[in-house]
Amino acid sequence: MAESKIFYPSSLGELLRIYGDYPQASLWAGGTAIAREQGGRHRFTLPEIIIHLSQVTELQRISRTERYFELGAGVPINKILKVGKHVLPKVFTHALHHIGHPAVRNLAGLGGNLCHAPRRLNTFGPLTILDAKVELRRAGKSRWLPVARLFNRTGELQLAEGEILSRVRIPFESWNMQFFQKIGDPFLKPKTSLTFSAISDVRKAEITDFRIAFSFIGKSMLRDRELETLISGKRVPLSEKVRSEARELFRASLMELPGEVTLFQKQRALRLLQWYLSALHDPQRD
Amino acid sequence: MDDNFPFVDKYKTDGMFHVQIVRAEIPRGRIESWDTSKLPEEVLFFSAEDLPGKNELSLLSETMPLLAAKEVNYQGEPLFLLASKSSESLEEAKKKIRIDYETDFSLLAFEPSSSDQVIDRVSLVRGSEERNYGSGTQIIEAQYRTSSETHIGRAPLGAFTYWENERLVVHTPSHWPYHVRGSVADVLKISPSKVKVIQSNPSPAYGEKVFYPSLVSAMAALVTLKTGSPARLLLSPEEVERFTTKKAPVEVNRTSVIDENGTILAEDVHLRFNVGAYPMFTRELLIRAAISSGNFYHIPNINITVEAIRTSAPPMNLYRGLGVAQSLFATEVHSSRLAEFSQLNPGDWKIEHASKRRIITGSEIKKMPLPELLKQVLEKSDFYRKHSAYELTRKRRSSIKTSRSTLRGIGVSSGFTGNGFTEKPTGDFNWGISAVLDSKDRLSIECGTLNIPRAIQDIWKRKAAEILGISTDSVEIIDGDTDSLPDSGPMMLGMPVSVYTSLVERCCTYIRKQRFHKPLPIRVHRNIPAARKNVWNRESLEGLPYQSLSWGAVVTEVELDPLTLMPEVRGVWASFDCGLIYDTSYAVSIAEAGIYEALAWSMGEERGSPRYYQDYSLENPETLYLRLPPVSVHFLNQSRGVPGGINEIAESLVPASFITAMSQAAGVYFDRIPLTPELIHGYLEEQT
Amino acid sequence: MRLHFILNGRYVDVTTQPSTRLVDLLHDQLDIESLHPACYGGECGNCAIIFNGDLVYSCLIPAFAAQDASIYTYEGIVKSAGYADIQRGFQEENSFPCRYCLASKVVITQSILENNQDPDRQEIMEVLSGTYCSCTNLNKMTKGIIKAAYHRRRSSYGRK
Repeated sequence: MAESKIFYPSSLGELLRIYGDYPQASLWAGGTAIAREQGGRHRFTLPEIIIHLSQVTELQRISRTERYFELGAGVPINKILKVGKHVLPKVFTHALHHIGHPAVRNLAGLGGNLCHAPRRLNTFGPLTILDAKVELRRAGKSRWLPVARLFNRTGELQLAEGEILSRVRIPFESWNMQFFQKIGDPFLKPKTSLTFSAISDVRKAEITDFRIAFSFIGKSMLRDRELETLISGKRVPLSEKVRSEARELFRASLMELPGEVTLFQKQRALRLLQWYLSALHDPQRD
Repeated sequence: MDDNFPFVDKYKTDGMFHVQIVRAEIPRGRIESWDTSKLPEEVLFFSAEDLPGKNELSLLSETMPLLAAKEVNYQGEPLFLLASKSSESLEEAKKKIRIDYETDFSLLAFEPSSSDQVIDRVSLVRGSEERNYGSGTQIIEAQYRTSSETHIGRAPLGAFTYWENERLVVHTPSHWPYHVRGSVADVLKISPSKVKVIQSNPSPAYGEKVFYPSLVSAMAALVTLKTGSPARLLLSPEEVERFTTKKAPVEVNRTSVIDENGTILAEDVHLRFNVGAYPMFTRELLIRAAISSGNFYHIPNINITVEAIRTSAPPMNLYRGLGVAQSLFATEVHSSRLAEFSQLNPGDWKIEHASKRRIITGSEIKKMPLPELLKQVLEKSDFYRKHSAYELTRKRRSSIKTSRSTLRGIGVSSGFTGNGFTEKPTGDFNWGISAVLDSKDRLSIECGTLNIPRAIQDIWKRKAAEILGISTDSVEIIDGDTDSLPDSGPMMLGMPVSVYTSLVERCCTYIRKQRFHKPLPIRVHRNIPAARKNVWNRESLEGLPYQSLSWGAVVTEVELDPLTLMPEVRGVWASFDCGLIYDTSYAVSIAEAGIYEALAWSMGEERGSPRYYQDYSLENPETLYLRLPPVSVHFLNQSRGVPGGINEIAESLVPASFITAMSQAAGVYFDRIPLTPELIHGYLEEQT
Repeated sequence: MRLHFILNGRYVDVTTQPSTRLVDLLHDQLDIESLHPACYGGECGNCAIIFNGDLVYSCLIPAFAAQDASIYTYEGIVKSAGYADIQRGFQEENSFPCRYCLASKVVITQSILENNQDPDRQEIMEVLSGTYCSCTNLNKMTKGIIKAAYHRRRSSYGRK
């Protein structure tokens, strides 16, 4: 078997140039997700052409304005936590904190976590509901895409040929209730792992905004807009009637998930939602 | 790092052959033919036909082929060896071998299994087999199951072999170097005196270092014999995990007859162990399981049958503990259930039984520590109050699904494990320890297995110093190999701490008696004696089966998350009597490690990895971090008695206490290990 | 491919397959015996190294990713002045891991202390959560690291 061809660009321009010449190349940053997928084997099975991203300075940048935080796609997770733990939304930092353990987080990058094709990993749910955007660059072009549209309905990554994810932009918005829960390990026990991301804004006992997202096995992701619309505008504590209606809506959405999401997982998701709805309150009053 | 006791992967030399095993791809069938025509020239190929001597390794009376000649009995069974001076070329070379199999696709399954899969059976019968009781009695039937368990993080397993002065030298991490010597000699058809085995570091290990070093050593030695060059075979971590020892899964059926007061009148217990394709130490496993199935309970009429079922799974059952953890799990969960029918809570019920001071084999335990151990853990854990409170909550709760209250439970288990084998094998097995006192009053202790834990070495040194009136600094446990050290048998089942310790004492006692009568140096060797028939009868299973017993009582408290159905352990309280302990801190450490491993097995954690917990709070969701359950360990009577093993008793008692606690929390009788959230969900659905 | 990087302060030039795991490259070709690949999945921690200043598991890194990196292993740490703090901390808390685990625990401790000379229990436990150990429990290990940190602080202030 021929040895893989490896490139080590040191700038974004160089990276895009190489990627333009070799659009079939695989981009490799921390590589932790790939390494875990190939766990147990003595040797890696590598793509034919690899572009190693760790030396690309633009991908390692963190910047901030009044309105948003921008993270380079190659910044290791632990570095993001170090720099942004008290500034970034809690739902996002908790998701980061749930990625593996510290030795993995020193290698893993945000871009890899977001773009991992076989499954929706930790950061996808939180960034979706935070209305985060990603910058997609290729030689001579760039565009911004909401994270929610990074994958299509069938779970395919929406990057054009020669395009890379260079930055993630997270808006500063006010959410006074944020929650992230991860159960299980999506690599070791995919069937029983899930993540639950939730953000709400409650002002003067009124829910001004409400967003939730669940991820399950593989590419299965659930964000129920109808449910979000139902709850937004309601007053806390939610009445039993509203909670019952929310349960039924959500149950219907759960039933539409593919068969690989087990009944057990669906019931778990429902219970987590029920807890969250019953826990909603006005933090300023209580 | 101590360079005197390296791991086997340290050994290499220029010009050596790397050796790899070609394994069967089917679980059962026959090898029809093979084609090696596409192998590169530099890669050597060996089959069973190349073996000059026996194509089998034996462990006492049980055997396993080195390389399958025709019959394939499990997927992964070694078929051939490849050797090359370049390790890189071997992986590719494996793909170039074509093997044709013949198979009817049948398997030897565990469930269901046929009667001819039963390869051995042990029965322990006491009292009457009559079960015709009058009205007023109840029959409680239950079935318990455990899955297999394996571990990563074991010391490298392999062998490095070469010729030196017309003798074959083998470096391997064996817990029984003399078994390696004998196996290599048999396979190569050379005299054992032509083989020298030097032990490399075998620790950590879970039982695989007793037998598998002999297998890989014989394979590497074959290549050295054929090529004249050094050879090294290292099993990959995946091979060690998949194809060496695992905890043997078990299915246990228990049927108990109790009277209106909850007194057990009779019990029938049937255990079936899945021992894989090539069982090892089977009889020892069955006897130990039978004894643990009776434990210390006073049951006037009991019939325990334990069977070993051969299947098409890779070999199991040489795993640490040999079946005791699995059978104690079933015994203790069942006994907690039976306790409900008495007027006592489970703790007091067990104390009552323990106060009879007997174990199932009839042996009287004069200084029975169990009542005191139980009282200690019950008090420290506040068991009585919590158990009543959780019972009340459980009874008032209509359904776990609608429950808003915390789901908590607490469980207790107790019992003993044995140190040493239940029988010293007959034949050419003179397992023992040697000692030499020289003219400067320095004592050297010679044990056939190195890697004796520091704490146990400390016990030997102190005992020797005490008996001979010398300082501990004058006592040395010496290094060596099969040329210089005696055969002490396999290092397992608490042998070093109990059996070898008593041999050290006997050696020193002899030396003390002879010291001023005979010239120095005085050398002595003492073998493990066979049990006297009036002490232990292995046929009828009567008497005291082990060299010594380690006792324990464990309480576990749990909370069940009603949203995710994930268990959380709130605390473990354990009290043990493992005889003499000098280093309490080390002993506590060993016990705690055993407890955490047992919890990991009970909860189906991947390979014992730790857990994360998170509180449900929107205001301040607790930052994710590892939260290990608090564990409290105490030792009783540590200044006296025969020292005994600690890890096994700690590991064996936790699962039952965890499961009974979970049963109380969920209001459902759980009966299997591991207990995962998905399984809990299944049980709850069944209940509704 | 040809790789060059700094290993324990020394420049290293080695030829290997890019798909070789860094743990195997270090262990097999560069005689770093302290590493014990066991899981090849980033779970057990027996291949822990300090890679460009950060604690990582070398089984997760393909050889090609080590180009121009700076790598420290147990062999390098034991030669450093700070090792005495770690040794002392472990000994005083009687938390000496077995020979198999010792190297990885030393590397982990060193990386914790490089980031924070006053780590709290939570931080330590979180790092240790990525290890698998059968010889000593994590509570004891944590105490050993806290004690090592104490000695490291004292050394930094010039006290013995």
